[in-house]
Amino acid sequence: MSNLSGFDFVCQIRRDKLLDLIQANLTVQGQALVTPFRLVVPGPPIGLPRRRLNAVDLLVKSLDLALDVGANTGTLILRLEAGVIRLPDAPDAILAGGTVNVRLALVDGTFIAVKPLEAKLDTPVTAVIANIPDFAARANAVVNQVLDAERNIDVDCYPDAGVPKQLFVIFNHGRNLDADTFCTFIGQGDPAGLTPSIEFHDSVSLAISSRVIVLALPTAESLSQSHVTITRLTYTFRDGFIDIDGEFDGEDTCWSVDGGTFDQRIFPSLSGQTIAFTPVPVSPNLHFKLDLNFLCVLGAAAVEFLDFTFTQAFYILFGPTFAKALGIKGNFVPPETPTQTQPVYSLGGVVWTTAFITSEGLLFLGDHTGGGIVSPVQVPTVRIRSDEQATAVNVIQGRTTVQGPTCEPADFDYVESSQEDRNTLTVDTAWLFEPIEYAWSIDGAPLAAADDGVIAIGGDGLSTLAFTGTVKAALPAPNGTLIPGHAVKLFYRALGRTLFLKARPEDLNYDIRVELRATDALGRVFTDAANLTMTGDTVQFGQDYEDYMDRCVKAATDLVNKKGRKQGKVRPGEPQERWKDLLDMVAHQLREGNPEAEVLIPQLMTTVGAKVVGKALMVKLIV
Amino acid sequence: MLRRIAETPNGGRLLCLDPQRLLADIGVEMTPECAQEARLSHPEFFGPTGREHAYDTTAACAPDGSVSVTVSGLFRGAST
Repeated sequence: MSNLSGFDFVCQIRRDKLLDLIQANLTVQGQALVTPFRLVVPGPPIGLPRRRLNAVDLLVKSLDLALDVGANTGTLILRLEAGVIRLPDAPDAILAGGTVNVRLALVDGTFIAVKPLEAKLDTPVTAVIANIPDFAARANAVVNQVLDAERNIDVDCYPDAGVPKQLFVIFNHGRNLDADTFCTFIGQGDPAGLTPSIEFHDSVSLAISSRVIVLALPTAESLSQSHVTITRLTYTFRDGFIDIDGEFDGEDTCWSVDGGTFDQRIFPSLSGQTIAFTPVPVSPNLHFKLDLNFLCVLGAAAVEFLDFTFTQAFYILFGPTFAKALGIKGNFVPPETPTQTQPVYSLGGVVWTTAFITSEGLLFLGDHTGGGIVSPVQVPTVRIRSDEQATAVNVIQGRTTVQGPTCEPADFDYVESSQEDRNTLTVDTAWLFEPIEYAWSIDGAPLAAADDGVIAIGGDGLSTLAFTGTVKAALPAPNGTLIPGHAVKLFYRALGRTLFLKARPEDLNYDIRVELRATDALGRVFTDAANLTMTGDTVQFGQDYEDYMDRCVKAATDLVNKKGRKQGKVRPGEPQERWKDLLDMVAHQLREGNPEAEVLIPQLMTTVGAKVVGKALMVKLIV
Repeated sequence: MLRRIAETPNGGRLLCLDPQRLLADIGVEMTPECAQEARLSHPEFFGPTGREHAYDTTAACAPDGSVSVTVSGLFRGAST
């Protein structure tokens, strides 16, 4: 087991985090790998009129990554929700499941970069597919086109890698240590000797060899000074700490030391994102014999210096310089803290959790935060969009008598418009596979689809839907007149995702329910519906009518509330709303046993119709 | 005197801390004139040293063997 196997730097990353990095930085067909997404390759024009269907139309629902153990390649697996492959002179091959496998090279010479190489389809064989000669090769030839924009282009998957990226950026190599671990390394070592160092809770590791670390530590030469020569300085990496030991000689006018030794240990620990090196013991162990040739100040200083001050010199490892430490007795200021700290290499998105020394060097373990791109929920849908237009064909002006509840009848001028109502319904779809078949119906009656291959010359090309129903005239105000048993003719043109409707003015006003049933290439069925009012007859009054109705409603409300419980104010609004509020209030007071409300029922029936009043009373009384 | 210093536990270190006191401890008596001469020629050793506490501590400790001071002369003139 080796974290470094002779290399200088080794960075390992767990497969799922590598997939996160790839997902966040790689594109396919220029689109981010945010599932679900479509892979589309247009096919040649076909049929009359000429139209294009996609030769490849695939819906990707999730991603996965497979690593080739012992190599620097892998496969980005695009799992398919569904799809369709259309090959020339072959029936549509409907796919339910399967994958598109994108071969990737984990590029050497960059920190973590991938290069898409090839895309292949892997799908269960259906009866249709089995009958298409050479389906796999022909399908792969066209599926591979989804990589045309990205093939053989290096994609940096870790743009914010920080310092480690600078270390690894030129001479590194990559290798998958096992099915779950990719590593990138630099230096001279044996790749086959590398083993995964990432443990259960970690997703990233960074190992630095003892050789590299020692290069950054003081040398015997740098620690020596004019009276003390470090003749040997050795750093030995153990599991858990670094052993430091060495030898020194010293001499001055009146004293000399020959073959003194020292030793100390340094223990690393991680505090936040800072690594601390703690010497143990705080002062190195010293062994030396000093020969004092004669009594002198320097001799006395040497004893104190070597015995106390010299030991502190080892803090130079991560602290003040030895030159300062060697200041003549009295000038030396011992370090205030024996433990020296250094920030850990910053690797973008990685929180280091552990640092420890091994016999090979220093190993950091951490976790790459974040979990890739969380995709929004996408559900295949169809939705009807309505665009209404009307053309007035006749306008009549007149005067009519209106009676509001509690009010005396009054005459008002009006303008009645007769119009040709037209409505264009368009279907918006999401995540459906073309071709999509649209089946329209109105009030349950299916509509004939127009032939989009026919060019109609003359006439308006509209079909007719005839039915008998209840229509409503705009007059008398405010709610018009219901006319049951009316023979209605509605003109339409159902052409694919568009339904055009045109109503006759003589059919006045009526409601219809338009329903849509859409079946996509995978045979999935989706529905939507819209309630429309075809408006052929409208009437408009002036402000005097509005003021009159406001007064009537207010008076009726006051009357109802006089002996009843207050139920809130009647809101201003359209006449229809006014009646509704008033009806609700009357119904409520009736339930409470208010006789004043009962008196209003006949007037309300006259004004808004017995059917409407009856319905309101039924609802309220049941409640 | 050198032999007595060598035989005294931590003798070399005690000499560096306070020669006058060590010499007295090992039975060297200095005449007033000699003491005066020593104070004049080596005032840093034969005057107030301020190291009384360090001297007492060192004198009370057994030699640990890791650090030792061997004295081969007392005064420059004496050793040359």
